[in-house]
Amino acid sequence: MKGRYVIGVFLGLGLMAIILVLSSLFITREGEYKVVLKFGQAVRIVSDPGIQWKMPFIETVITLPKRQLVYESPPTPILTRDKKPILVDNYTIWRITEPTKFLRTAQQVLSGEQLIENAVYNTVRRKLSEVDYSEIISEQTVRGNLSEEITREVYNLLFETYGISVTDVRIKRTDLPEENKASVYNRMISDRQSMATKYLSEGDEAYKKITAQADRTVRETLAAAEADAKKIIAEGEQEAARIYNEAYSVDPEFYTLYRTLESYRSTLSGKPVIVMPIDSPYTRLLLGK
Amino acid sequence: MNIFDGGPSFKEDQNDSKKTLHPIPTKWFVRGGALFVSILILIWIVSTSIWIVQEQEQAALLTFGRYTATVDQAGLHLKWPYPIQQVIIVDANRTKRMTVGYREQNGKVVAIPEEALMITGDENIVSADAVVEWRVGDLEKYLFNVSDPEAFLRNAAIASIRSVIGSVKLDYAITEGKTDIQGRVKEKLNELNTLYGTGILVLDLKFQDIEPPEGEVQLAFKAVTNAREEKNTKINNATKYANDVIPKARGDAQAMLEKAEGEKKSRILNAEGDVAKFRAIYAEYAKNPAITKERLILETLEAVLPGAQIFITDTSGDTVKYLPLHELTGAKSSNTTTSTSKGGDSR
Repeated sequence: MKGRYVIGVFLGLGLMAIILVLSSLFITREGEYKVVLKFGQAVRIVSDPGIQWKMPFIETVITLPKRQLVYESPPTPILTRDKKPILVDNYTIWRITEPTKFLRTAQQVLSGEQLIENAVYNTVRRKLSEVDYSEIISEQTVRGNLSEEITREVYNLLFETYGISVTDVRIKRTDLPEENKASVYNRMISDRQSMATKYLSEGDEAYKKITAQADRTVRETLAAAEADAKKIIAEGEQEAARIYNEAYSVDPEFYTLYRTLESYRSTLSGKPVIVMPIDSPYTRLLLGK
Repeated sequence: MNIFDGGPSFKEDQNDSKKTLHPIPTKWFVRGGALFVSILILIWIVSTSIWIVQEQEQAALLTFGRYTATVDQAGLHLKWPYPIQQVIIVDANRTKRMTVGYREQNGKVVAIPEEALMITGDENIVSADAVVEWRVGDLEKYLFNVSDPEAFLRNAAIASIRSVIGSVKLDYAITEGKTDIQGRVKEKLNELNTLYGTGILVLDLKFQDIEPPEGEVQLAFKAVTNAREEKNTKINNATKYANDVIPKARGDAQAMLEKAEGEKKSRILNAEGDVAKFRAIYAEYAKNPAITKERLILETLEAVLPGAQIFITDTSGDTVKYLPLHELTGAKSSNTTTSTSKGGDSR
């Protein structure tokens, strides 16, 4: 009985010792902070990974992320300097750099995001309403990169007070409110329609131009050829005339006779009607007078 | 990622066994309980000490939470049991695809307009889909520097695409600009990736499509393409017409010239022929002009008169009298002279 009791006591003590040891050890992993709280008050922060001691039961440990976190803001409606409405989504890359400050002001990651949301919303709204629509779209303003400016401002808002370091605040998406989108679509459509009409008319223009040029070429070619042909024929005539002249000028009188007779043969061919005066030589010859 | 840490169930088992052991002080129970606990401890040690790395995987080994080694050798490995050592296994060597603007679900493509649609530099709206190919480049950063590397990558990719598209014109983006935009987005994404230290290595970023938004707008764009084609068709038709008529006209022109040349030649030859004939006759005439002249006249009359109707008129009186010779030579004779109006008139 006694031996069994002793064993029981040893076992109990051993168990208690194990529980004590386990509850006074904690492991900090890569990518996280462990904050040791003593009655709710942060007494130390462990940022290097490894195993650490704490006072059992009195000290408790909470975990905060040391990794960078991304927070995606909901779309923010903005009226730009040139009075155009636009919806802007941002995302923010941030991390907790001072867990004590963060713990005091934000408690947990979710409230940290709320802080970021507020800071980003205010900064983005203010900054973007100071610039033109086109500058938001291209992210370039006269002063430089818009995202960098916003990042700097949000960083300044959060770093000192909340122990949050903002790496980047970036415009993720730019969108238009539905009704504006429809009007942009309509503009795009009408723009394209005018372009299509232009192409069609240019086609007509080119068609007319080319065919008219072709017609012109045809007419010019034919006219030139006609002129040349006439010239050639004229040359022929001239040459013929020269030949005739040369021959006929030998005896103009004979030529007249010859040519008259020639022309009788051709003009009086067939069944001509000839009226002869009674006193013409031929009639006299004919009538024997 | 897959955190292999033995899980909380082991702790529960421990506690349970301790409870059952304490209130029942029977010797056999104690021994049985001790054996049971030893077996549980053994199972725990073995199961949290042996682990396997596949070919495409890499593992981060943590000793008391500290990153102590990277294991990229595939096969069976040993470590100290939990909680002394832990491994985080990541399929780091595999190339992964991330789609932006759409998702592939069971082989189907589902468009995500709010990711795809964006505003261009000339204030139009364009739809851009892209695929990012990536793998883990720096395991430590991938695991411990960022909380959700893929969310980082997606956000950075969306922002990069939007930013570059926002600085170009619509027509450039949907036509020849694709490669240039792709290059600039890749550059921008790498820049952001380096800034955030995600440990991700972006291998490639490719645009699937950069096109006008679907629906009416896209139809309007297609209409422009069609109109452009139609323009080309019209030009082709016109060129076809020109190619048809101009050579024909050249042919006609040449034909005209040839004809004219022919005419010229024949005119000259005719003249030469006429002249030759004239000369020949003249040569005879010159020998005896009077007789030749008479002969020529008579010959002509002989040639002409047989078919002719000859009227002989007497204009000496008031009336014109004529003698129809052919009727004399014909059948009925009537030597009456009928008066008509003036001479040269015929029936």
